[in-house]
Amino acid sequence: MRTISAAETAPATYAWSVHAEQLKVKAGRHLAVDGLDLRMQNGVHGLLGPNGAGKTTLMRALATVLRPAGGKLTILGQDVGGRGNLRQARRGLGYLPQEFGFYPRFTVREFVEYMAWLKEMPKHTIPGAAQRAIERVGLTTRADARMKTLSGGMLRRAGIAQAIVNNPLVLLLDEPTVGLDPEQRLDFRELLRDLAVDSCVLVSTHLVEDVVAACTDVLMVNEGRLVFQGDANTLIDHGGPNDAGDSPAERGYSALLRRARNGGVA
Amino acid sequence: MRYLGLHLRARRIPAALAAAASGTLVLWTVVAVFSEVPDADISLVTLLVLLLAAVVAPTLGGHDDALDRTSALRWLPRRAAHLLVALVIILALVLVTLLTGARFGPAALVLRDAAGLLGLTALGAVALGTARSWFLPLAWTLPVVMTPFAGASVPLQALTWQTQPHDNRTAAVVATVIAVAGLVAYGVRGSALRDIRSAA
Repeated sequence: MRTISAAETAPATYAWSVHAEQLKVKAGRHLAVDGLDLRMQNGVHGLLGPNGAGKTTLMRALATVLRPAGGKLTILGQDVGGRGNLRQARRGLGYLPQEFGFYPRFTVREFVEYMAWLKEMPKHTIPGAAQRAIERVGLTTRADARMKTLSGGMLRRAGIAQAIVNNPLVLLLDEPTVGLDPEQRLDFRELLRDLAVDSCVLVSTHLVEDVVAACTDVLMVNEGRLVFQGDANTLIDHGGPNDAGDSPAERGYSALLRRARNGGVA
Repeated sequence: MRYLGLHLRARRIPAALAAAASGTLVLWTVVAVFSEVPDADISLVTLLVLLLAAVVAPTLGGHDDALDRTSALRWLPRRAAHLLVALVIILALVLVTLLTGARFGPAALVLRDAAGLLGLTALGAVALGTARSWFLPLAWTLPVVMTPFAGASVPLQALTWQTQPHDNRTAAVVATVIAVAGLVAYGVRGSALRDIRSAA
């Protein structure tokens, strides 16, 4: 059992967990997110798009790693676009980067506990929260193994554990299923559904099938803009028999992408 | 204390302390064995302080800048404390030699160079990222050590502040300005984002 704080049970005073209006974010000198509008509430949101579409840059802006170059970005009711204080929003955020660095001599437990401390969790809650996060990603037996001894899939799961350790209200996962075997992917989808009950989860992936199976909402970006937001069935409905793809969802994805590239917005 | 311990390990502090102590011992031994006078040459003092500032460089950031940035901690006082503690450790390591037969001093010169070179390292971290933060102090100091300047030209004294005598006012002013600039810039901004995905 974990202690539930008053802040967790307090009613939210904002309409959207994540709200972006005309968001612009630079990756280096390139404007990778260019006038993107986005609204998200609790649930699992799958972020699709071709390489270079701006998915990772969008994730980094939502994680408050990159400051927006323009537009408005509100996370958990806090304006994180300007010069304002980001700490309040950051306490409620979880973020798994596409690749992440770590101190190789840390054990999994130490890594997750350290990340919990960085997120300013109350110290007495950290050991329990870290243990629970490690259990949820199925790394209990390796909890005291050093990070440098883990396989790629285990590292990914350690990364997911640090992202969920503070029970984030907004969880951002950039390609979380890379390196996971089919069984682990199924477990991960289960974990996503579980997390989405009381948080807003955004998962970036190239696997259209993962999105259809686990996401209540599908987002698609192309060239820095949102070109589609809707449920998986709507995505499938966009696909016709002549569109590229081996499944209805892939055909829907191809059709939407082709339409976006031709200048139309779904 | 457990989490402070984790933080120090994540910032590679134990390795930095070992490297700093070993570097000091090596240079101290060189002077103790080969020097005919007990006081180390000013260029050797500057080189030792440069080495110690470079050892601090990798501790200015963690293993993942992006994950560090998502931290809710109040970084400004922590970063400022990091630099000040590093300064105290450098001073302690160098000034303890004043009690021995091979002295790296005087204290005023060590303080000036340590503060200035740490400030340069901090500015390097803000501009170039943690991994390359030592470029800036090294690139400025090595040519100065190799071609010391002893004339009266104030601009040239400012340019070669690291190896000026300990009572040179121009050198003291330059070192102070760099130290304060480094402290403020690093305290407010931290290391530049140079993680695995930053080029994407």
